[in-house]
Amino acid sequence: MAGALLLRVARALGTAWLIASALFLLSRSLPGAAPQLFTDERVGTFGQQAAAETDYQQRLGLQTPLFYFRLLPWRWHGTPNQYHRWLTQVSRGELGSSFRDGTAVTEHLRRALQLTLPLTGSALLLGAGLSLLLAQWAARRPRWYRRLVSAGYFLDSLPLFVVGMLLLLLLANPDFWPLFPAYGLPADFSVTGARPWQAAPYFVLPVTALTISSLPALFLPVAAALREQWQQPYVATARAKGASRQRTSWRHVLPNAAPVFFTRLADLVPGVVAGAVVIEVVFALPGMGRLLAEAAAARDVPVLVGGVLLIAAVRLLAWLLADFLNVLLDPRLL
Amino acid sequence: MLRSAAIWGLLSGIFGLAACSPSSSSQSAGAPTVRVCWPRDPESLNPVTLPNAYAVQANNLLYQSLLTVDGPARRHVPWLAATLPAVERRDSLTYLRYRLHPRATWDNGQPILAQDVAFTLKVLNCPGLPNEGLRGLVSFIRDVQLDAADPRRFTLVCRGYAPEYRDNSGEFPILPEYLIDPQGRLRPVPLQLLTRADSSVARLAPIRAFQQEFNQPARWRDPRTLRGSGPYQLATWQVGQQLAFTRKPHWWADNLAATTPALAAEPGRIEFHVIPNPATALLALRRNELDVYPHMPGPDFARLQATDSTRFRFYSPASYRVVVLEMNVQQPRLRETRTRQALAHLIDYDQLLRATQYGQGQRSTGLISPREKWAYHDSLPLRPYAPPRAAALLRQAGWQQTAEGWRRPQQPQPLTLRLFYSAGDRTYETIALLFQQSARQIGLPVTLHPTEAGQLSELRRNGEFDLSLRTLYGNPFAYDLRPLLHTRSIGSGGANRSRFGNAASDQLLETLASTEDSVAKVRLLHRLQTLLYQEVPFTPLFFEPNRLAVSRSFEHVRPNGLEPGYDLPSFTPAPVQP
Amino acid sequence: MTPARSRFRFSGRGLAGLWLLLLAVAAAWAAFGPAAGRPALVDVGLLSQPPSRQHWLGTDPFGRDVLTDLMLGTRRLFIISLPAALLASALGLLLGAAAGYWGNTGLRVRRSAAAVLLAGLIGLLASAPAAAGWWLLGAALATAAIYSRAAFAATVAVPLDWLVLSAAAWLGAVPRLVLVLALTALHPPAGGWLLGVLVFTCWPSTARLTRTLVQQLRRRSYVEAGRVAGYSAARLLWAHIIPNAWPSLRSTLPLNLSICLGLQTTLAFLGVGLTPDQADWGLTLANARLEPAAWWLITSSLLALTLTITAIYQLLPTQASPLQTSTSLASGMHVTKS
Repeated sequence: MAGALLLRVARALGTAWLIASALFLLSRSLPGAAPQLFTDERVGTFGQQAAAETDYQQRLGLQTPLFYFRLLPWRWHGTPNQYHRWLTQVSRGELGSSFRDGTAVTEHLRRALQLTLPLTGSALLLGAGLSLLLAQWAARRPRWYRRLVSAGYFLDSLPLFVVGMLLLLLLANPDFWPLFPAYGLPADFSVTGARPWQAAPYFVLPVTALTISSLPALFLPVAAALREQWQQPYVATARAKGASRQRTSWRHVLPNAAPVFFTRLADLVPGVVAGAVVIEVVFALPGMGRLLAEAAAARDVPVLVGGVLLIAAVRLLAWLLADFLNVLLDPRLL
Repeated sequence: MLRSAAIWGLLSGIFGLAACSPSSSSQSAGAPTVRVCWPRDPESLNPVTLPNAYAVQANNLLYQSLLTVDGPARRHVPWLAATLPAVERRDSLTYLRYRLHPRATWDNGQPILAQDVAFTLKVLNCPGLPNEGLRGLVSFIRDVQLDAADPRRFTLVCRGYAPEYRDNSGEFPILPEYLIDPQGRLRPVPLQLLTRADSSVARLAPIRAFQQEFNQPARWRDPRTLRGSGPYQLATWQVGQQLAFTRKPHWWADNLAATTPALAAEPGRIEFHVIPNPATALLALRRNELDVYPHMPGPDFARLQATDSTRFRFYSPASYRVVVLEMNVQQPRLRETRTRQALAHLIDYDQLLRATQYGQGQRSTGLISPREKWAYHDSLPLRPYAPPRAAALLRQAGWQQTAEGWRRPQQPQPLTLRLFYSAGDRTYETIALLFQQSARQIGLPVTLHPTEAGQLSELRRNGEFDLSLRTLYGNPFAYDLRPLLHTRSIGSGGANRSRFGNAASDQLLETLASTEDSVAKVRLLHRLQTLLYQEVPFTPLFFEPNRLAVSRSFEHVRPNGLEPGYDLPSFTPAPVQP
Repeated sequence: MTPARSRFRFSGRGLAGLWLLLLAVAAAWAAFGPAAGRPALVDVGLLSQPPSRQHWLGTDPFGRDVLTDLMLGTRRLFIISLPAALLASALGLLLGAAAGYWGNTGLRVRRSAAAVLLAGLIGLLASAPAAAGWWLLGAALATAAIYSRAAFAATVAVPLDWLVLSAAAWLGAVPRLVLVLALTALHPPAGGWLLGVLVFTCWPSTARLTRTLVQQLRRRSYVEAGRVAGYSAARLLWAHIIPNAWPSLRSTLPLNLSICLGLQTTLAFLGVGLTPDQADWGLTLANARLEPAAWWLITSSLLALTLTITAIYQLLPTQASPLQTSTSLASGMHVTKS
């Protein structure tokens, strides 16, 4: 069992590497995907713009070939290529440095994760707990179930920015209830620093918004699965044997619907690392979502590929974990 | 019941905490804190990189250049230099003679000397540093001659002559050699060796050692090494969130502010809050969590003016940013001048100003702001919105109106135009919709192509568009329009995206660039404006105002049309009104 | 089930059908009516006006009537969003079911065919985007040629589960901007192409859920029995596995519509697909971003969207297939835990 698990972890990490490699090659070979020193807003000195642009590309190492070889027409480039350099860096545990400010990508990611993990992590936990309780409660009450399903669809069609802006305009507005800070974090915030709980009020609105938006994706399938289980004959058997409603629902029904729950949850876990760019923009939080969005806009490929490698690895490991939990619950799945 | 009461207590505790925390920024009467809203992070504070306007603004607090811009007066004034430089032209060279301010010192007490200027120029020209953008700015400086008698005097030797040399020669930040190159590695390397475009220079041992030291990213975030002769020092930089600067307790120009306004540095602390979402920024401003909101969106500005005029002062000086509708003159269907003129008549300029600028903003006949009265060609009439005239012009250009649209006799395809612009920009979106609507009136289909900024850059560079919306950033100092209009600036060589130009216009631009401010220059400028007016490689839509809201607790804002549009170091607390 | 309950359900379904019919009428009006091909009028005198006599649902930040905009938007709903959601659900179901049923070892193909496909894939990644079609075509033809002969019969297991999950992970991890750049490099964005992009990017969540459900169900005794009886995989999946997975799937499939709409607006911000002169519900909703205080904009477009999603849910059959009765008896799913 442990060996099989280890093998699958290794395979997941290998897949993450494949994904990042594909992105690396894709993002550097596409037209319009190379970083430019001069944009339409920034004009170079007359007669020297092209030379400056060449110097810039050279400093970033974009002049060397992309890959070991080129197909069509065939040409062998050998090891001095961009991909090889990136690969050697990755094998040393580095992810290169940002095109924009020369800072190591790992440093960028660490800084962004420090904010994103508490933000999206707490939202996920809250969302998972709430939706599970709600689903358990609603599965036995058909009328409420139908109402909650409609409410779920309503919440689901609410775009995240609407939820965020709504919370902001209601609970951080001087015209209504200015209960929470409108944006940002306290000036000296750090998760590991002194008194991180001082930042709690700053997190209330973004976490609420994220929780609200993740509820339907979990609640709807889980409630449906639970409801289906309640109609199965074994429930009647268990009840006939004298199991209480509570016990039936938690010990008998839930384990059978758990795979659905874990699968959906595992789909949401990567978002914990990937951040939520919309919420980060609305509440001015410098998290992972904004980091990657800004890196993509500025064609900062090292940051982008590093971020994707991390997200892909987390995604695959989360799915693996979900599979593993499902097997624990139902050994027949193995 | 009890439980809910407990929860309520807990919640109100959190709320109480929340309510008290943001208002903690107390303002002492002497040196107030100014909190400014920025839509994005400056990304890098490295003084040789300066990737965007915010980095430049922050850098001007840390470092000083020889000259600075007096925004309201719209001219360059001495900053680190004692006076404006003396210009002398001899043979094919220009000599700019400078003297540094006699009292200027670094933070360690050492005087700022000509040696530091020479060092700065070496850093700006050194290969392998992230200085590609700034290198072009000083590329006209060939050498620097130090004065043996006075260590504060030096002469910049420049290639050829252009009237802009005087201003441009004073615009780069002067760097402290003692902090950046304590070992004096660049000292033995002559500047002329670095200015020559020679790849072997990069392999010299002292240069490589210097590169390695200079390119450590950590040193450009560390307040101990990221400091110059400016009045402020970096306090904290939380990337993507907040950037704070504090006033140095002792600064060399502490007692000079009374005589020289450029040397004022009143606020004790300056904070830049990064808030990408305009609606959030507006809330923060209204909650007194910000003092200055520059470049406000038009609708928010209008709304705030209506609701909170007692707490904020509003400024909207005309800027030098002009939004233009660019036309690709090399596109076969737009090659004919009258076709382009017709399109310029299809823009409802007044409606546009009302919809995007809320009545502010200023129309113009060309790239030159009407505020610059000496240069602006005011006898050219503003083009009116006139669809019938547009249709007539199209007919003159050889297009025939048929049931399927406008078409040329020999061409099977009717005329359709693709309008490109940066996606997600509300102003551009409104302009595009209005233009499409008025073009439809005369039966001319226009397809809209909102495009992601990087991709749009690429498309424009390659000339793969018909029409595009673009904002051009100008200033009142330089009239060297070669990067925008010269044929050599087409493609990756510059920013001539309309691909306009011929030998005559190139000649005109070159003469203009080397002509001193004079009657002759005005004549040339008028000729250029007339040419652009007739040829219509673009039609200017409007000059945007610099919309700025500042809390009434400050005065001496000195609003102006140049970036960033206000003068932070001169802010002083306003006397409390009864 | 009581008669009252069933009547309620019927009326719920009736209402749902009525709503979709209304939408279809609006779409037909938008496509063929007098306003066809003409976007709502931009009026700068009426930017972001609240509901009034002239404009029942107010106007948007460009001065367009929201009601007209929503009605014109139904056309795109029926042309792009709904088909995309439908196809994405179908694709997700298919891939998820295949991955769950066969796993990494269940499906075997000829070794030579696998080699050819692999070579095609590598060529696809390494060559210029314009040549992608040729690689695909070449690989497909070679595979067909191999299967038309009796030789090269040695087989190898296809890691179907791994492939599907990796593809889903890749789609989930790659930033949309890069994806858009890649796809526009392949092909300039146009109508059918956009539909393809939406389907291509929206299927993973459905596939993941289906995979889990199928994995759970394929070891059931009745499926094993069916396999022993010689039923084909397709029949087992269609008649025995999917019907049991259906209740969980039914509630999530309508979510694909809002995913598709959301993705469409994201793509619009990246400059692909929608343009502001095209009426679309996602865009109407996204315009609220420009005027957060314009509640009428959010409320009306949200209401329309929620009603549609709920209507689709109501109209989806509660049972997937008539065979369901025979299988549910066999679902002895009681997990015994001590």
